[in-house]
Amino acid sequence: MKRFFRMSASPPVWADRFLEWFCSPDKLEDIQGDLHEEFYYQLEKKGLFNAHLNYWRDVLGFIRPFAIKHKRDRFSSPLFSPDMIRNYFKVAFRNLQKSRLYSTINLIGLSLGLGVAIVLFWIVRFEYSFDRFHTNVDRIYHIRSTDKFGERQSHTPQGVIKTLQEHLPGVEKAANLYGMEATTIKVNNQVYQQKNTFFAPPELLEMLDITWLKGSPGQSLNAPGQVVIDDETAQRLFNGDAMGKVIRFENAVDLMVTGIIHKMPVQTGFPMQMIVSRETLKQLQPEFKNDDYWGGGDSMNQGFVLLKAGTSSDAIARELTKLIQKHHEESDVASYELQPLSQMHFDTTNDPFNYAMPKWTLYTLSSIAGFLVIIACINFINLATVQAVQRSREIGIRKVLGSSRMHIIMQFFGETFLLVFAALILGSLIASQLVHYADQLLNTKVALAPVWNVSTLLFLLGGGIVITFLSGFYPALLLSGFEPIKVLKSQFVVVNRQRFSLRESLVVTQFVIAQVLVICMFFGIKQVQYFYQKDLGFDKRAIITVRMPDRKDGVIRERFRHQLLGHPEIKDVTFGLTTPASHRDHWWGNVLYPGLPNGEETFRLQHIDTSYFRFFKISLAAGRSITATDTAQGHTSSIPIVINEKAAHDMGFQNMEKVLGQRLEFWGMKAAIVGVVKDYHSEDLRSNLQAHAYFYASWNFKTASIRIDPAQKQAALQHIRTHWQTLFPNDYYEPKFLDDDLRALYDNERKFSNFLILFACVGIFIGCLGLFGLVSFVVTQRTKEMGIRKVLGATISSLVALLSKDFLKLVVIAFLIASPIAWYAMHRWLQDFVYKIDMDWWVFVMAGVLAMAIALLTVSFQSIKAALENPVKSLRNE
Amino acid sequence: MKRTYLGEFEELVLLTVALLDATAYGVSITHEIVEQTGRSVRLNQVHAALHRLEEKGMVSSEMGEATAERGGRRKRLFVVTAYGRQTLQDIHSVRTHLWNLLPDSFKPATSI
Repeated sequence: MKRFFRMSASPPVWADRFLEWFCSPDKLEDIQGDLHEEFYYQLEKKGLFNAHLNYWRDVLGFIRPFAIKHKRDRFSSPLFSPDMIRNYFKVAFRNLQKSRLYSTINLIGLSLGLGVAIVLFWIVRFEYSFDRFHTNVDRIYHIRSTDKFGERQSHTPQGVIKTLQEHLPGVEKAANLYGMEATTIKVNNQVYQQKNTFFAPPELLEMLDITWLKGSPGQSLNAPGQVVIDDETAQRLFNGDAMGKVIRFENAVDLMVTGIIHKMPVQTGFPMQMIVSRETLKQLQPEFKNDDYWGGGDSMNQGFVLLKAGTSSDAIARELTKLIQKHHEESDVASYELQPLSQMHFDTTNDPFNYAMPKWTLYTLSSIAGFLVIIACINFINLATVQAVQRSREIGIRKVLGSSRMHIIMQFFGETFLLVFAALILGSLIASQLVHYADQLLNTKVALAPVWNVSTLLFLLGGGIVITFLSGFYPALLLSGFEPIKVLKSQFVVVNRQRFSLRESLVVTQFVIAQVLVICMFFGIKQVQYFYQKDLGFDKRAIITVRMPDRKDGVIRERFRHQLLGHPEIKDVTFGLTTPASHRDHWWGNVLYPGLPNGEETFRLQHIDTSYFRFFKISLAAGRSITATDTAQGHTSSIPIVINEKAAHDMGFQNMEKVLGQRLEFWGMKAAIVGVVKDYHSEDLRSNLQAHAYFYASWNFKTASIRIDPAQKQAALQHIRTHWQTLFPNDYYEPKFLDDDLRALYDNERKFSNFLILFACVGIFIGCLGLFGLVSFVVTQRTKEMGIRKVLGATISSLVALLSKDFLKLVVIAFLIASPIAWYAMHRWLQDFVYKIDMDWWVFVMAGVLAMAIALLTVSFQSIKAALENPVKSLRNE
Repeated sequence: MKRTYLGEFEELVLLTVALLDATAYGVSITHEIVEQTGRSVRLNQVHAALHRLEEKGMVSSEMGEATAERGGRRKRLFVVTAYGRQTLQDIHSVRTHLWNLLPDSFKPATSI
């Protein structure tokens, strides 16, 4: 007889399994027994096929409540009764205590990883909270524009504000805000430096959420000579009661305190500590008087607008862009746009009042933190699975005594949970210390904000659960799957050797992450070093700069110069708008010359003293520098100017001699070129060279540069202070080293490389901890083997090689994977810079060798110990 | 007096349990019913009825001995409780009483 189905003379297995699955345990025995008996009865009576069919029908017929329902009786074993939970933790605690080495490794690794992750959580949360506390944050926009050369700019002229207020429906309020980095104020004959000084009309303060302790925006800022300060400043200047007191501002005007506000929170783009009325600014700087002016370019004069609910910001921006046509003589703006206030903090093209944080940095840092936690989780998984062999007996016995698989899974999760939460506590401790150094690692002020609150606790709880699951899941599943008979019968569980086990791939993952970080770290450090050491084209050594407060007074200036040069410690003095490269005070002019593309280009304008080029050792390519006779001449027809090579190239000249005598026009002045200087880096090295025009303008020498004898620094500084303070008794003295100032240009990069250093060290460290744990395990497993090998004549070095080889192989594989990833990441990072290092191959090799050396050190620590062991010891005890 | 409702099939099962005396279990009951009544009865129906009867307190059960044909599994053996017996007798007497009240023409011929 042919059979179409392979059927045995026993009940269908799948039906049986199905029954076992759904049927309640206390009913299963007699139901299944009856079914089997019936099966054999049917088999005899009606044949195999019908018996099978009948069996299935019967099984399906039992899917009824009475058979499915579980009956709770005293023999059932609940997973989550208080007793069981207590037991999970008790056993977990004992196990952790028993395998102290592994527990410590896991604890340290997880704590470090979590510590860094918590700090990053704080940083990211902090940076995203900027200005979100304003009630109207969704309706407030920052006005941004793009000029006709395609450059983004922050300046918003007062004419735009007036148009917004008066001609565009949908606008509720619009206002300018003018910020000054630091100003000099005088209170009761005491000179102070006041940081975070702003000029604002009442409308601006009405838009924002500001707590007024005294006064109100409408009354306190609508007239000239009014000033509002925050409570902290009031305390500093007046010891409290400040209302009605007088502040002498910049030696120019007396201001009366008409309002006091609560100190602004840290996470704001408006860190206002002293707000002077806009009316006062109009008196101090007459160019702000004309309310209809659409020109100008001071990036610290920014605009903000509050729209009515439901108004489209795009529509308003389009209207503004259209209106530029009417003011094209004044404005060089191509388009306006409205940026939501909550995005202002992330815009690096803005000139921020506080500081800007690019989003990619936050993304990068948080993913790195995630990776560090992953490395730590991998340690946990590896060390747990590696111990599986030792624990298999325990699991076997547990199962024999009646544990279900779920019980064992829960017990392992209990262990993981205990460890992870201990690590969370330690990590929080690390984090709360580390957060104070966050500003060394990143341009952030997170340390000033409170970090411990509900969302931090939720993050810790959520993170703890996720990490417990991540690291506990696989070991729990693996270990709980052991079959008691196999585990208890044989002496050792033979782990089948795959070509590449999960454990090995996890180790490779760890080292890929760690090595990517190490390679990135090397390039980061190298690029920052490059920034610091690159020849900028001028001499920046041993130069001190001081501000010249009364910049128009030539007599005082010359007196200062002569007094200083009277001291042997001071080598030279020169004056100018700024030093060749500086943070602030970049003045730009739209230069007209037929040879330029479209006939015009923006040049950077530098006002210089006659000795400027000599002082900074900037050499001439052609012609001459500005001389004393030029300055004496007076500007009858055209002023003599010097340009740089870049400007000459842009004007269409290759031969620098030819450009001499050319005439060009800017600021409505005519100028004749008398000299060309070699290019130097006036901007940071992220940017290209800029075209420059230099001319003598003694009314605008804001900075005195003083070259000192580096060996006599203290004496020189003392002289400068004495003379400066005698000449400018009403001003705040603040000397700066040019070198430091230039370094500060690369603060972001320096901090970023610091972060990479920290991350790479933590990454490598955690990875090596795991490696150490694995090696120590392997060594204990192979003690006897080592002993026998030694007895048979193996050398110590061959034993060490035998033990280390496997692990080093993994590190090499990791290096091969890490290199391209790191190359790509750094390639992207370096694209931001115009001047950058080459991606040398030896940096990769160096990083690889370093990682290998650290790994080898870690491995050999244990393997050498094992190789040196006396074989008698390891072989004797059984 | 409160009476426990007993379904027709339940009554049948209960009677069969009583009939089989101490050897009543799922399979034997099913086969007995099939044999005695010719109805096609399935195991699961019998089990469900036994479950209900046990809940109502008319039968009680205990596990018997293991048998080879059941793969070493034990039988659950059912016996009728006193209450079950009482119920059966009640039903029977109610029916007999009613039958006795019926006119003779309705009764099947018992003798020629």
